[in-house]
Amino acid sequence: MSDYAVLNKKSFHLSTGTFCLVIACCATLLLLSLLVYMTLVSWPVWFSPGPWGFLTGTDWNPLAAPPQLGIGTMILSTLWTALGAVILATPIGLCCAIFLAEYAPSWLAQLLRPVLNVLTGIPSVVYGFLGAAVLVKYFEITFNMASGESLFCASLVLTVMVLPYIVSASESALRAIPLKYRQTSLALGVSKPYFTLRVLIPLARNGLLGALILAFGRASGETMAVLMLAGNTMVLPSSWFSKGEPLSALIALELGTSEVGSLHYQSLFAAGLVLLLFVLSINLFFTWFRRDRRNEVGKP
Amino acid sequence: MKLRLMLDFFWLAIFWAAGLLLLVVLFGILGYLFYQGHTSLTQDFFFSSPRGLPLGAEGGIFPAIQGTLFLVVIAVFTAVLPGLATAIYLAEYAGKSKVNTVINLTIQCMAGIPSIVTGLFGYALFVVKMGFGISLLAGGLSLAIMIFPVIVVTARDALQAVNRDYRWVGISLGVSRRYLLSRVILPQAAPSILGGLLLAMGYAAGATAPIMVTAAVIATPSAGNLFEPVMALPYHLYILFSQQISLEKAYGTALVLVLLLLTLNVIALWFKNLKSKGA
Amino acid sequence: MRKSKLFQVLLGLMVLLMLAGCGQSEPAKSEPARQESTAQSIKIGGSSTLAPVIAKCADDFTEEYKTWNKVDPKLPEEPIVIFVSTGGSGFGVKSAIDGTVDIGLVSREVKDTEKGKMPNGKIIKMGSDALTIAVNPKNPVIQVKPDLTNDEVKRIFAGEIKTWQELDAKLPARPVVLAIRDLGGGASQVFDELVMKKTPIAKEALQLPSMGALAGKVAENADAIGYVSFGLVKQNQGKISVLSVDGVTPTTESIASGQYKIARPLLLVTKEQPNERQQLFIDYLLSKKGLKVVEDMGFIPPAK
Repeated sequence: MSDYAVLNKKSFHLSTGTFCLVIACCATLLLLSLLVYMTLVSWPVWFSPGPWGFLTGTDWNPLAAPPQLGIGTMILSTLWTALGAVILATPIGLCCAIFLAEYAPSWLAQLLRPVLNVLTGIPSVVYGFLGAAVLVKYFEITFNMASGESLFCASLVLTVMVLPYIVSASESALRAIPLKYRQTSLALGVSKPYFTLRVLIPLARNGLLGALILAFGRASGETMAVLMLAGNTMVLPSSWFSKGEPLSALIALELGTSEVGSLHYQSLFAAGLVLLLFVLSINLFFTWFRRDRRNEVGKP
Repeated sequence: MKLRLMLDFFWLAIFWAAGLLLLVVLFGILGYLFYQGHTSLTQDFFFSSPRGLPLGAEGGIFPAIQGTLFLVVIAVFTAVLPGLATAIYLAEYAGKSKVNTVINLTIQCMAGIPSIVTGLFGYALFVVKMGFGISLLAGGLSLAIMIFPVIVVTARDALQAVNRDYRWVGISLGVSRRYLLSRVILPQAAPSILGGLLLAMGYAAGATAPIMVTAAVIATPSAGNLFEPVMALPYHLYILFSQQISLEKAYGTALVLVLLLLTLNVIALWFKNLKSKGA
Repeated sequence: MRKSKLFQVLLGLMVLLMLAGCGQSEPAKSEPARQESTAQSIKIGGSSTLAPVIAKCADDFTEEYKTWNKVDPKLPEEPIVIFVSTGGSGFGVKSAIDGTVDIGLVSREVKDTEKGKMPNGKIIKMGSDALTIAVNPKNPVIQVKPDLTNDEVKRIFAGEIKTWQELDAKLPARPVVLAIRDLGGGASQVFDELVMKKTPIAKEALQLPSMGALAGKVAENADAIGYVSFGLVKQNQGKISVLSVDGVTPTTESIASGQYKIARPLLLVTKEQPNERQQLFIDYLLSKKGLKVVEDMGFIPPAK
């Protein structure tokens, strides 16, 4: 107790509320400072090739003379992998969410939620490793491909990775639908699957879309799994089965080898900033979607 | 009518299949990892340093386990207090103000920051600018930035889940807010908050992107100094596999990582159940 | 009341942390702490070709002596701590210059601009290595056309020769899979200087993050061709086959004599004169024991 005597009530004039507010504001500042800092470090890049040239250029060779800085190929690769993953995960994820929200007996639902948690928690490097050790080999052997890495491979693994997000976000969207619709449908003698497909999904449409957007953001920011599976080539991806090097993989590959303060280093930060802004805008979009949903149903 | 019944049955089957698919995927992953990795889980693997030519082909992963634990401890230690304070503010003090909306949105945006960007930021700020070098401290702080939003969200939800009646009773009895918070609400929410912390720990333990640029190296004897680099499990796995050092050891490392995560998850679940029993 | 006291203690801690946080947000000069810690340990990093060698040596060194006073009685009884990290030759030079590592590992010639940033530094040659033009043992090219001209190699890597058949009519019409190092690798720069001579490498090439990964790619992919370090070819005996270039087969002799052209040095660089402990470790690396590891790993020790 004597240790605490120093900190008696009188030495505290700060109310807890104010104190917590200060800290919470610091969190906001952290995000801002991150954005500002990334912008400052990458500042010169936005002048020399210019934003347009940087985003649409397809040649990346920052060590050449003159340096070529264009991340168009990486942006495309990122979009391919993330979109592919969302497209693959959507049907499975939605069906899972419906199952959890409507059909699963409670013991099974109790079991599935931790399963989702664990799936979310499995590190991306483990997914990447398994994908590279199992999937890539399988593709090489089965389809007689020259080398098994491809954007499609990365998408497949990302599918498993974003599935939990889609499921939990969709499930909460489905659960947000007021009870009265359910009761009405039951009273009308509509079968459960019909009710699910014709009433529930249309009502929760915005929430479900929001879930997909969130998953898309997650998939675009994923690093390790993609680094190990996408093949890392500088070619403009022309199809889902070509190889590519998503933004996150580019940064992970080259950050360690770029000289601090060089143009290469700055352009990596610019690439990071692009990725960050992209994911942030997706997130904001998601928030906006959710607000929209609240307006549509569930008004008390 | 017959068709409708068929269709209904068809959809029912689809929904069930989707739900069971999740189980299959998870247990498939775990089972496969265990099947491939259990042979390398010997005592030596846990308690000795990497050896062999190239380094890591034989021996164990003790320094990597140590390094990961240190990283996680630093990250949690740094993030937990600000995280809790923010959560308390959001749940208890903010009400429905503009500030609340802004902070909530920020937290959500932070949760969405790609981990490699956290690594970039950590590298530029901690490693280069502050001159920590590639070190345990830089890695731990980068991870702290990464898990901060997770801690806030779980703690906030835990606090909000505490029954409103307690607050009304407390207020009507004229108890001070701080007393109410520290003696009633926090103890009620503690198990869930701890569960959330554990999940955040698992998250930090498995993150590779932030530490591969700020903290991790291939070989170091032991961790412990804040300004020294460390080995870490996820990075070690990446190196073992990508440099083709040893597939068998890579499976072992992956299994250890996943087991660590499962343990954390199980403890978190146990806390949750504790709460539902105690409530 | 104990609980609320506890809460206050927590609050106090938070304040301290906040203060610490504010203190840190100014560009803190933690240099003294750094100095102290670097005196205790040796940090080494860079080339992914050389890192495994040094890691092995560091491991042996630590095992053998355990504490510094065993190496040199003048030194205090402190445990030997040596860190080895990878990241590529670019990383090695860069980190040596900015002080993130004490000794940088570089598997290419150090550029003059880089030397200019390390005027007092040392460059120590650990040995030589060569980039072999390596293919998978299953590839019929070994029987059909085991010798390529420099120009053919260049055209393959520039993407002009897209299938094996285009190289030789007897070969199957399968695509050539190019395996290369990313920009930060010393190998990519050496190959650029000695073979490609400013011709850009095909964009289809797979970039791999380390020499080990490159060797692995060639060993597992029947259609792959890549510039694999000579040492790794030796380490993966039987899994990787080597083609001659301009009639010269890369062997220990032909590389040491300079006959095989695509050779490169394996270097240690320091920014300042190495301190006592670093020097002791460098001496160990250049001793019989260290050079034996260089040889065991398939590289060529420096000529005496």
